[in-house]
Amino acid sequence: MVPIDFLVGFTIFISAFIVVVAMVPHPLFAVQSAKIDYDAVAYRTGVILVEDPGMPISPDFPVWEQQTDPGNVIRMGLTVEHGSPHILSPAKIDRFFDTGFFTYPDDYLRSLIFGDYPYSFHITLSHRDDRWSVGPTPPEQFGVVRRVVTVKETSSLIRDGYVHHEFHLPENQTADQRLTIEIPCPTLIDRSVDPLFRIDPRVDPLRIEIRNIRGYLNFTGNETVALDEIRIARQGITIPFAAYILEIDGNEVVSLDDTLQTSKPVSDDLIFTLYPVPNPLWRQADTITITFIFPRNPDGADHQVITYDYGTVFIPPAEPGILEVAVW
Amino acid sequence: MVVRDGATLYTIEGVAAALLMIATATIVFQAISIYTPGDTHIDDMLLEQLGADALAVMDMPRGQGDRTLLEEVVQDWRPDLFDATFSPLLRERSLAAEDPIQYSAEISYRVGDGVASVTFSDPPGYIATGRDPAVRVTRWVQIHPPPHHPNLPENLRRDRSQMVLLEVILWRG
Repeated sequence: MVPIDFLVGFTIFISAFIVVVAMVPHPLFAVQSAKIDYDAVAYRTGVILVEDPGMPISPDFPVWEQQTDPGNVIRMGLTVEHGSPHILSPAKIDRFFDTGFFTYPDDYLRSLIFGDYPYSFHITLSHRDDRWSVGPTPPEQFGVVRRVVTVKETSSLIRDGYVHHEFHLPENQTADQRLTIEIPCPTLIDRSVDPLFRIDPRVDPLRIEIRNIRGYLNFTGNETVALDEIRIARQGITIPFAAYILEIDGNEVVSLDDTLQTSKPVSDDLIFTLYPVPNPLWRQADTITITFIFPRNPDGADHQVITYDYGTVFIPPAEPGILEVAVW
Repeated sequence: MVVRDGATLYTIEGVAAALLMIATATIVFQAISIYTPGDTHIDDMLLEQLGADALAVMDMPRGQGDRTLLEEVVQDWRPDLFDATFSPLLRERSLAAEDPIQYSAEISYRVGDGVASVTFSDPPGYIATGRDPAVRVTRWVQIHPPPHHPNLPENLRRDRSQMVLLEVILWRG
């Protein structure tokens, strides 16, 4: 007869042995194919870039690409606004791929990749003939995600001497002309316009182009056209504003943060681009006016006013692009 | 009395052996289930997301107030234009060679109480093996009232616009 205490002890021992051995798979839970983890991180990063507008540290100021300190960017996302996935903002793209502003990899790990593990990554966007990329070339094994996107185009107001003849008036025999472009912010910031075509002076650059300027301003003979002054005003009051670029005949004559100091001759065309700044001098309800003054004119000279709105501007058709995120 | 406990010991050995086998089987089956069923479909999910992305971007208006590319492609029956736009969006990769994604597109629409379908684009040059796992992406497209392109199905409604379903099946070939 086997002693009862032997049986009890044996049963307890075997049960404990089974429980302990059953715990063996649990430490192996962390052992997984690295490719699955990298694919998941790449997918999440792709979602943040393509479906999220990003977030700056201060809720008053709704865009992160105009922050001056990279530490003030909580999350980098490239879409134009919340609720418009796949539509990317060109200003955000320029800022995101600016490795002079954000350092690889720290700023991107902090506000895009997240997590404690020090991932390496390579993000590239190709659209039309442009290619932007950040990060080193990936090794053989990496997780990757591809997203299809479209980039919002910059609007421009074009005045062509062959087409537009508002300066060709019978009494216009003098060479003193002023062209004023009115930018009515409330008309432009209209939420009923498709986000792909909406113009927002707070975040988008505005472009004014005058082509064939001699024909446009009705100059005859050998007179040279000269741009004397650019006056920027809000609600009729002139303000000092330097965030624009002026290109004359294909050369940049006034760079960002600089103003037109002297009179410049123009032989063919003129391109003026107004850039958005943080804390501008105008409000959302103001109308900004930009006046180009050709030879210094007394009162009573020829003065034309064109409005920069959805009826007059040209917006090129948007084209798709491809964003790829590789993580390893 | 003679204490004969040999048989008891054999019984205990048998019981212990049974328990040991059950324990081993438990460990083996638990070890298999580390790779959860959800992970096997990540590749399929990424392919479906790529197809859905491409259709969503093609469904954006070309200009303010214009038709989208998908509306134009279906209303004017341009499978060549659809192929020319859709295929590079799926295939081009910058970090690896071209992705060998094949697809086949179909349009489904309501006819009375039933549903009819017609093939829209079926690029040739690929022999299906029958073992290719495929995903399905769809997009609703609006067809405006006639005049219709002659290749559009005859039994579409003629009195008002109609929504049709563009269904694309994608697989890696």
